[in-house]
Amino acid sequence: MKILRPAAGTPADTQSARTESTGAGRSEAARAVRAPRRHRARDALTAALVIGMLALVVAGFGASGMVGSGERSLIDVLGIAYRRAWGVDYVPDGDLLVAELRLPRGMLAAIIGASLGLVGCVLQAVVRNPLADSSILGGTSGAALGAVGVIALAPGAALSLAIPTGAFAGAGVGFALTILLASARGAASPLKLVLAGMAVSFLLAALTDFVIIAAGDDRKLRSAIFWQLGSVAGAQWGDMLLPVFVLVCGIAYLLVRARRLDTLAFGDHTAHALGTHPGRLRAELITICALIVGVGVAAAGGIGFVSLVIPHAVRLVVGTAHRRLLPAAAATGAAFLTWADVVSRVITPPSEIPLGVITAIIGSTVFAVLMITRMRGTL
Amino acid sequence: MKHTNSTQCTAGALTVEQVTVSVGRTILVRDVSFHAAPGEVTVLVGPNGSGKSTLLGGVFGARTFSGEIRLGGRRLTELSRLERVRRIGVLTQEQDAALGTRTREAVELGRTALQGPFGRLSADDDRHVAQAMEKAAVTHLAARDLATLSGGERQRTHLARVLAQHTELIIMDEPTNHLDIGHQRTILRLLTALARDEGRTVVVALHDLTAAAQFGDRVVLLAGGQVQETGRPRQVLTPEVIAAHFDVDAQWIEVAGAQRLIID
Repeated sequence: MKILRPAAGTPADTQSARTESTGAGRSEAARAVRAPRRHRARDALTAALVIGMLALVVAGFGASGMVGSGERSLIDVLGIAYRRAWGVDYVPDGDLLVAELRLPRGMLAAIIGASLGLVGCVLQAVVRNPLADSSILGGTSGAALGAVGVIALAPGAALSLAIPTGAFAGAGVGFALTILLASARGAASPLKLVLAGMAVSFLLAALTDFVIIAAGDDRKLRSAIFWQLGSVAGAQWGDMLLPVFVLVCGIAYLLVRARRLDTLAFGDHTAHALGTHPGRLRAELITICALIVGVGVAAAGGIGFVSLVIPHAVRLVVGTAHRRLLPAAAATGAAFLTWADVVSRVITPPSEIPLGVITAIIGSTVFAVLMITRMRGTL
Repeated sequence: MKHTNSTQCTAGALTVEQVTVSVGRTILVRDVSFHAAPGEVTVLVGPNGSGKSTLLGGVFGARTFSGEIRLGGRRLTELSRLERVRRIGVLTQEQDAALGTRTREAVELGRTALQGPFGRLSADDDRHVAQAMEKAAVTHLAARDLATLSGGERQRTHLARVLAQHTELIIMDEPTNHLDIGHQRTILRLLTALARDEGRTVVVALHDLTAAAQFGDRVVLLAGGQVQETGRPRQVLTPEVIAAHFDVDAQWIEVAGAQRLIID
């Protein structure tokens, strides 16, 4: 301890400050007991939400196996899944339909939903803007251009592998352009990132339309539009490996960074004061998001609204702390998209509605309801 | 005081030596040197654009600088992030808040910012948080959404976060912004108490010269990115100096036995 000068001139001031903090003594003790309990309550709520949503995902797999042309009972679906998982020979009559078409698409929907929920949370924190979604930094429109370019140019046969590759490359180009533009003069601030993302998105979307019109082939046009709306139809078990890998690594990494993400909310200087280097953290986070979005869009096209709505909905339940928000949003996104896919297949049989259309309809409705009822007074 | 022992801390002095901060080719702060001692409130004053916030940004790591800044004899550039957060608490002028952040959560971040995802708020952390919220008069707002608070309430929440960090050096950039006169005085008295009673090093930028004169133990006058004067308030904030830099008339008069600076 160094000097403790007698508080010359302001004895009354110091005195009052002291009584203020002493008076707090007793209520503090009471609160010290309450606070961890409240934390545990939110942790428990988060765990319950995650478990509940994962249960919904599993139920969604069941439903996904049952519905469509040629319905199956749940018992059938379970039997088929068991035979597929343990490599037991299929019963020839229709096992293939469930095991190789319906179950993989349910699985892919869950993975993409989780990815989108996660990416939405992260990007909303990165650009400090509640309107951010997976498409905000130019990745989605880049992917669309890549995929449509491949559809327009490549001969029909090579498409199954070429489209995801084109989409992934396009997403990378879109993100890279946005980041380059945003950091052209000094570090990329949230506002610069949003503006640069808009400019890049509009440019790439215009180029995509140009390619579609220039291709002038009706069949190709249809498939390009369908792809842009997003769908998990035609998913195969082999398509799952990369998205699962990226998703698992992404969640693990983001959870480690969860508290750092929290500090971004209060402004860059405050983040610095709390030990975060906001510029470096943003660069890391955007790279992770680019990977997740690139892989996701490559597998399922541009599925809108999930990454915007899910984080907002989940935040109302578990709060803004990312260590709770991220797992909850991933699980909720997975459940949402799995069931959206089921709905897309039963609503207008025998044809199905693109998944992106379903998510936009449900998502925008949910968003509007949230806005009116729950965000009252905070916007 | 109930927790006297734990709130006392051995603070180091802040020494700023020939610090220059520039952005691109523009020099914002040039060759600034000053010393802030533990147990004292050091006030930075100066007209708009004089470099107060920029200089403080250098101290808490938001700006790169040339020159040397030491805390308790150690160079700031040698401190790890963890050490920096444990030793320096900073209130910036930022007012951002993520939608849905509770007041209490925002304050807790002062203790948990460097924890992993599974880190827990210890009983000790919790006591610091509760105490800080009490001091900043935001306890009753604990469960409120930060976005629904008034500017002053939000400012006090950020202040509570800084207090919860419980650091030896406390830096505040315009802490009385958005506050009504009652809360302004409470905060300024609190700063005095943190320095005098708990022996911390307090560095604060203020626009209010009367408050600077009343609550500062030492005043550093910045203008044009350079230190113009430094010393006790009576020595620095003379009517001549104030007229030269702020273009207003000022005088010291005696009120109830104490000298007060009155601005015309």
